[in-house]
Amino acid sequence: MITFLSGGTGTPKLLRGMRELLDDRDVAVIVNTAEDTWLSGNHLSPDIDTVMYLFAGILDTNRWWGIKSDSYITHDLLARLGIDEYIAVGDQDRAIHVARGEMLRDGIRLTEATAALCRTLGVRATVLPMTDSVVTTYVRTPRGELHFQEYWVKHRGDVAIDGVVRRFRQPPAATEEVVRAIEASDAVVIGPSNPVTSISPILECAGVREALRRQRVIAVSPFIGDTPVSGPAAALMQAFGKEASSAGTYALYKDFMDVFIQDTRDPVELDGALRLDTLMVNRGKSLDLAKNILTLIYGC
Amino acid sequence: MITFLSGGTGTPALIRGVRQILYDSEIAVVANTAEDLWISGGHCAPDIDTAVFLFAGILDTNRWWGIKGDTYATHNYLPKVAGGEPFPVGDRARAVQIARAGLFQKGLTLTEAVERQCRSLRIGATVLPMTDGDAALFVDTGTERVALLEYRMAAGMGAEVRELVRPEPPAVTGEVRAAIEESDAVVIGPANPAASILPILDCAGMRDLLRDTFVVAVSPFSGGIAPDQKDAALMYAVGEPPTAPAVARLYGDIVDVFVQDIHDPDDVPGSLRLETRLMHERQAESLAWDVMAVIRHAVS
Repeated sequence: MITFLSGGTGTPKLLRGMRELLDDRDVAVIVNTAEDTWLSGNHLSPDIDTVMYLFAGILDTNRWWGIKSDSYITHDLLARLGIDEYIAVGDQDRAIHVARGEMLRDGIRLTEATAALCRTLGVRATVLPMTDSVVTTYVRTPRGELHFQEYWVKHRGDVAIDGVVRRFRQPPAATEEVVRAIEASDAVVIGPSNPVTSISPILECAGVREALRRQRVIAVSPFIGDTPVSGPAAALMQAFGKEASSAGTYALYKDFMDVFIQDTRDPVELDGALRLDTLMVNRGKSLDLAKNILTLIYGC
Repeated sequence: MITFLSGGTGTPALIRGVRQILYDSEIAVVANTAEDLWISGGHCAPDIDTAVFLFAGILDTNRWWGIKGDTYATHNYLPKVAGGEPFPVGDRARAVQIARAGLFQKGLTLTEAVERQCRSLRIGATVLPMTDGDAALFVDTGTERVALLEYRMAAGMGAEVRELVRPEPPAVTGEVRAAIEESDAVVIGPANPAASILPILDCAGMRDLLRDTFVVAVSPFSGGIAPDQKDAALMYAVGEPPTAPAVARLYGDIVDVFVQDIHDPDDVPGSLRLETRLMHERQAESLAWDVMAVIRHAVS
């Protein structure tokens, strides 16, 4: 089994390639939940949904979020009624939020709720929220703190930020399921997801770094030069006090990482880094990168 | 102005007829809230919504609830991923429920939230919840306690009604009081007394208000035949059969003119006999003319 640490866009693209080479049952994905939020009375967990929908074969792979050919009837009427959902929630997507919201209201753990949804959606991979407790990423702006989703989706990242903070009532701890998945794996792969908002929240969960130190870890940089392949990583890295580059990413992972993969075009020189084509612009590129990583793990 | 006490499907059908005679701005509706409940993170208020949708011109007048042409993407997807909902919620109706829940979250009362929604849907009539307090009725079926709406929409036809469990009667709102005091008359529509009208009459202060007002009540029952078995069961739960004399007894001294069907063999002494079947729009308009004539004669 291989365990992946995943956010919402970069890593799912790698997972798409992995699915063509591995049986879904041999894949576990530990997913960032620091962007979760209650929206319109129900529970939105953007990264879990993306990973879950990918393995269920219903992900809209044009946007890498939401369910393909979903409708937006409720969302559109809400706007006319003066309720601005900052994310376009599809009608089927909303059913998932409703189902999860009801389970959480009934006191079911997020890990169990996710497992239940995966079962009914026919997902055979193991999808694990990083923690069952609530932790949320906020960005600090001159006008106060913003929920990360609001910053990125509503304001499209077009707000000056000077810090990234995690808010929680009690420090988040990795679930037993997460630690066990890491321990039972042949290797752990950190996909090219945003180091600040997607991967760091996972690493901050008590128990994750310790487990990773005992495991073989391969990480893929999401940067080419100072530009992230997708998403708002650059400004966030700086606000997080790290250089917005592969070097900054390397620094975040270096205490537990065994192999660091950067793009062949990346001008940043890092000793010992493996150079591969990490720009997964299509299915074939995803597959190539997946093959290379599996070769690293299992030999040829 | 004329105020209607409304619930179920009969009163909205009568109001549709009245709209041919009066401007919407001359109509106020005090809606039953005993069937309100929370579902999937939204606030469902069937009798309020039916009135609102009627005046907005979007009511499904085949079923007398819900929005015409609504879709059910979320509702139909839910059973595939989780337990599902006890009754159908349309995608557009869901938006109205979510928007109302959102207004509660901002601290608005039910009355204020409904007023806001009436404004967004550009409604000329006044739609008022009977109370801002908790008025939810539950049906004790002998094996479980279910919300009244759930009983009406989802319970089997044979489900027993042991008891109607009602909360401590909440108080009528200032807005309801003002509407009734300003009205030339109050019309109690042909709705099931046990489920729709008694909850309104039981609100603290309501019967006193009505004693000072000219009240016309229309019996929903004729010849001891209820529209369906559940209507009958609900009546027996308040200790009466589904007949016009029983309705007259339950309403008591607040009624000035009691209207019963022209074909009804059960005679209520002093009642006005009219055609009360509202099978189509013409019949509703005809009954509306008759009721308005009675009111004009009495208050002029």
